[in-house]
Amino acid sequence: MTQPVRMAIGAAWRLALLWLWIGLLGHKLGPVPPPGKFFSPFQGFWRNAEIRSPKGHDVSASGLLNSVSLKYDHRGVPHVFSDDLQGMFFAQGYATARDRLWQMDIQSRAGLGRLSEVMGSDLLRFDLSRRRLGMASSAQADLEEMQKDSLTNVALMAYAAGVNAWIATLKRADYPLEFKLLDYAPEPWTPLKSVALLKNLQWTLSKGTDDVALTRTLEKFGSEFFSELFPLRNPGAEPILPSEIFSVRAPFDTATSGPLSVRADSDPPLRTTNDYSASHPPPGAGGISPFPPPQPGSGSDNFAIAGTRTASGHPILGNDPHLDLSLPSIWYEVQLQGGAINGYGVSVPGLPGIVIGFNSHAAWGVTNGMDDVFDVYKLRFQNDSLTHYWWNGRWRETKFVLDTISMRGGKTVIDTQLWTHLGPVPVKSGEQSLDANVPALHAVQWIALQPSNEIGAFLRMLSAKDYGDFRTAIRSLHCPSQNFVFIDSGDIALTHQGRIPVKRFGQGRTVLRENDSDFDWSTYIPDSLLPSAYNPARGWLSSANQEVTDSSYPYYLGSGFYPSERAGRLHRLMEATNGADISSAWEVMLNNQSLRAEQSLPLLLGCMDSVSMSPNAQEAVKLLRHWDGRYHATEAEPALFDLWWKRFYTKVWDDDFEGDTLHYAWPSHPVTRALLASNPNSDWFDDIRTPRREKACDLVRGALEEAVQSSLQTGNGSFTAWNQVHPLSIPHLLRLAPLGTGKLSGDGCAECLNAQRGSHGPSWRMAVELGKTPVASGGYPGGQSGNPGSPDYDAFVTNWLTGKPYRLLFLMRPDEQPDSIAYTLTLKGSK
Amino acid sequence: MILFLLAFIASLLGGFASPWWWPAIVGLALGLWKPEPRSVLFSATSCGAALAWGGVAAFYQIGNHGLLGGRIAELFSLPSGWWLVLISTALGGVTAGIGAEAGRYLRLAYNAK
Repeated sequence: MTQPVRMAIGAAWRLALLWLWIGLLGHKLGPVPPPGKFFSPFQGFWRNAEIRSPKGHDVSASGLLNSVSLKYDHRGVPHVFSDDLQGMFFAQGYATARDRLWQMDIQSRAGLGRLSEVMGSDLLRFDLSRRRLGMASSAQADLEEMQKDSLTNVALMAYAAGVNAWIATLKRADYPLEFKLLDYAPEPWTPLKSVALLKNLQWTLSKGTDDVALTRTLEKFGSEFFSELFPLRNPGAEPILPSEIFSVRAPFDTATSGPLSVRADSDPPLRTTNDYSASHPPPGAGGISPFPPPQPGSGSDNFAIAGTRTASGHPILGNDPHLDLSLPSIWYEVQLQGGAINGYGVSVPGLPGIVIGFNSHAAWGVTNGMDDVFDVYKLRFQNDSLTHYWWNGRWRETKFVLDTISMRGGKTVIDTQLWTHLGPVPVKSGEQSLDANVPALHAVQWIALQPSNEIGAFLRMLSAKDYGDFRTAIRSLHCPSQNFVFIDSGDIALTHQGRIPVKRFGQGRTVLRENDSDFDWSTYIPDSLLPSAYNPARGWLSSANQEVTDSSYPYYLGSGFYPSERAGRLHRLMEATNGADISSAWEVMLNNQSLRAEQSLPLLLGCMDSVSMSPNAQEAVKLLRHWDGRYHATEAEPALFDLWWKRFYTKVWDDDFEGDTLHYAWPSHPVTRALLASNPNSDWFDDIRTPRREKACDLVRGALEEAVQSSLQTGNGSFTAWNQVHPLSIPHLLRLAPLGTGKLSGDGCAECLNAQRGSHGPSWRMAVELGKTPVASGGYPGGQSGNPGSPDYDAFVTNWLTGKPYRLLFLMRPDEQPDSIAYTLTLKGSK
Repeated sequence: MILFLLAFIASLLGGFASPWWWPAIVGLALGLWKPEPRSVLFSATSCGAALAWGGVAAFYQIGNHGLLGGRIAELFSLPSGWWLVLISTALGGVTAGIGAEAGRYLRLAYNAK
């Protein structure tokens, strides 16, 4: 071989090596981001390491009509000042994208079932579960509905333009960290993406149902058992709006003669005293893949205190929505001033407007309404081709819709969706179930699939001056139904708002087998008859996801309301309120005293009188006899009680359900407590696996010895502290541990008003007093920045954990320039 | 020394406006241009690029007080963000070195014609 040839081969070989090196390091290696791109200090993750605080400057923004100022305070909250609404929503989009672009992108993809596009085939089943449920198609239908409303349309378009103006400034090196980790680029924002975020909210807050698990339980144990242990109302329920305050007529509504005039005979057939689901056994639910059953969440709290009970004479509002916590945080704090609007509060990143907040005249807050607006129907199909299903005595045609899913790597999946007049059939025969609550060949009827304009409500609340304005504003909120508390400078109100189908009592609690229009949703509870109260004489209103009304209300709302454990505590605190101020309102949200402990502990301790116990159990009983029911992180008593009660609860039902919490719904804690209190010799306390006949106290004593052992084991010989058995954490959205907070220690419990539970809990505490100018405190677990390389990513976590509030800076005029403003960003309009 | 300086300056200045594999271009160009023994060429170009990459990475690690470096290091099961500075340094250096080697052979092949 000649020298030139040798050299040429050598050059070619080295060029090939270089090409391979660049290629290898430029692509993802499994879950590892492309090393060349990622570790480059010029393009990669290092560029997300924030090294200096942002400074004020001017930005020329394409698509903006008039210039807008964004004054950022020291906590990173933008205060938007615009002459018009277009500029205000544009700036909101720009500011939110500047801090939270990746969160907005990934959550909108989740809503539309587009995660596999960027995360690969592992997410295909997730995408299918969203798409087959109709979320993507209903987002489009919602958008069309919203575009009919000029305010919503302006907001959606301006918000998208603002997000896109921010994206246009980005080079690859500027992309948020997670785009680099997952190796993809942001795409232009559209109004549809905003609606997709709303679909996520609806999915989280209105789809929760245990229809299938309840169905299995009913089948296994029969109607008598079901009626006794799965009552439609929780034992000891303390409704949000009992009849003595629900009869208060709101002044804005003169079209009806008030809620008390509602009569069953003037409306569709709906009133029965029996539980429909118990008397109508559902179809077989065997063969459904086991999924963890929905657990009762720790819900949310809100309250309004009338001026008669406050020190200043002005109403005070508190709100604390408890949600699955994440970093970047669920909420983004913002002040919006534009046109006649000047509001402050928290927004959902990606949605224009403010969800929970206040303006100069009014304040509002929400808890989830918990109505049953998700029904599952077992359908009979004519044959395996599924072209027709039986309904109303005849075969109706199934609609087939082709759906294309593009996955990362270029692969495309064509999926066929099945639709009935009720809604989608998410799982076909022979397919693995996509959802615990929707078996194969079952149709879903879900209120979120009906076109509506919830975003319009978030926008109109901003300019509400009184309760009449507010009721008008929230009228377009159909799903998820919410308990809105409201105050203005002199009034308090609470409204249960949502679109709720008229059903028989208990209808849709279990899987429906009736295939006729009697069980279709055809009428809805009229807005004017939705439960509400305005300036009740007692001087306070509150909600905590419990039953909305007492049994005098003629409509069925559902049976999935949370037990009145937090609600009961809140009621007691409200009743005792006198001379309240914003600090005492804040303290209500931090209350760590558990009503479950207060009600259950005496029953447990009652079994321990004059009985022989191990020395450790004696010590535990001694401690618990002096415990006040407060859940402090470093104390042993909350852990002892929690372990004891849960061991007892498991012992009661474990034998009957053979330990199967996956397939069956177990009786609730309040039902178990009520049984212990009223009938300690009940057969249900007998462990059917043993020859002897146990009574409740036998189980209580056994449970205590086990709890004590468990506590000593965890505590290495001494009783373990609550924070050891109940660690808290706030995970990153991708569940990458180093991007989350790690293990945290804090007071509170799931049944406490300070509802800390694992990575679920208070997501935005807010207290507002409306005097001449609003005075407000707030705080959420996270920080304004979505960048893990910024100190503002988790800056609020310590205050949140210790319950220390931030005083919220509400600027009345654009020319105000207090010291707490760190810098100003000016978006220059193109007009 | 001139190779080292040129590799450092070119990698640094071009890095912000170029794709991540810019050091390979720098190495390739230096290898084509300057006839040097393989060891001198490779070590000078890779050290120059490595210093640029490592220096900028260290700047962010220090300026950010190790906040992001610490998080990402944990993600890769490394004890500290300074290990990531080392990784960035090595990647920049090796990329430039492989580029220089390819450039050197291209020059040799051209000269051997």
